[in-house]
Amino acid sequence: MFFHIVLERNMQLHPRHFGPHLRDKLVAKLMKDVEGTCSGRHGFVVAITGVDNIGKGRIRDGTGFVTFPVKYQCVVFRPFKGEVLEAVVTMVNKMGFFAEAGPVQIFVSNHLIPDDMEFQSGDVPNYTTSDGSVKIIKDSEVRLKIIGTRVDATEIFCIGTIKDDFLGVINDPGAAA
Amino acid sequence: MAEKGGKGFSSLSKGKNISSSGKGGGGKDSNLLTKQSRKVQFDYSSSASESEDEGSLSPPPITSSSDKCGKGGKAGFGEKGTPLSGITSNGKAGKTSNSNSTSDPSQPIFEIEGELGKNVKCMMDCEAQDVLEKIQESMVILSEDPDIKLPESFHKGLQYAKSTSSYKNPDKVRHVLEGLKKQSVSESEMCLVGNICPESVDELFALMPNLKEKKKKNEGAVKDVLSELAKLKSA
Repeated sequence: MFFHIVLERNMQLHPRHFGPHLRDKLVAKLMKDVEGTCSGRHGFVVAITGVDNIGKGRIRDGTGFVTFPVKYQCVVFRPFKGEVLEAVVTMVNKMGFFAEAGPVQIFVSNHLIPDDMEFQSGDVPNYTTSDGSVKIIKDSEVRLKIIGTRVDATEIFCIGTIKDDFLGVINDPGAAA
Repeated sequence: MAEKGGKGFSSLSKGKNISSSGKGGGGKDSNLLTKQSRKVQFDYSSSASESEDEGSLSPPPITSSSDKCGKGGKAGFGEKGTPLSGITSNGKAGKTSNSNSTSDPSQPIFEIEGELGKNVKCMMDCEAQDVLEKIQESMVILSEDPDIKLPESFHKGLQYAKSTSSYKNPDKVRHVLEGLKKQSVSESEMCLVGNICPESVDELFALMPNLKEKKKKNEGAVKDVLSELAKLKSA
């Protein structure tokens, strides 16, 4: 789920950037440093939406660098246990499949795929029901529920399930083709 | 209904039973533990010990112990004292805990309010889409500066928001969903409802079991909200 969140960060700036455009430089550096990163605590920082406040800078001993405390707002994406997401399948193998919801990778083990779906190897590995009516292949859209997340300092890993009511394939790319 | 509740819990109590007997070990050990942890009293575990003692005790009274089971299982595995009080409290709890029949241990519950800080606001996908699109537009203007580039996760996030959001007017959706707040639905749950965009009450309750627990109270309100949301859906 997306969240709007206020965060704070100490930014170090080289003295060559000091001048009338100091604020712009700081904001540009903040965007470069923060956007696209993932912290286990907050999730994936998708975009900075605003800078609230830049505090007074402090010169660091021994270097010319100055540290500014910057308070900024951003949009983050963080998956939670129990959340229902729509994800796009990126890889299918006999262990299960990987899917992507925004920046987050989710693994669905074959134990968490309905029992009537079996793995078919071949050029296009897939999970198919015995009557062939439902197929999970790469680029399929599935609705899944996150049953567990493992949060690292810089990464978030998710395990999902489609073995429940109202979960499973929403859109089959093969059917459209 | 009571029967159902019993069923739902029987699997849960079984699991806990195993763990409690495993951890508790011999009866002496568990007695010791009882003394130490007497302050924390969970009627669930006492009912578990009850089943061990009498063996043939039918599942429903065990399983119908109050909604504290989850906590009891975690903290009070050694709580085996006062079986008598356990029985009585079980009896009482049995009547009230029917609505809890959905707490299947295998079901992950979406409960994040506690994890979120003060300055965190949940967004629905459609709201996120609005915000991200605005940023993308402003980036087109700023793009003369080659140093500023939107990262891949931005594009992925935007693409995701676009593909999943089914409403064009987030403000209206939020307004409609506010109606759920009266039913003690939290902000994050509200947003999840907006994201799931369920077509029926059954679908919503299947996907969000924690709403189902309050089903009796909120079913009417949920129905109204869903029908309102259906009107807002962009075809």
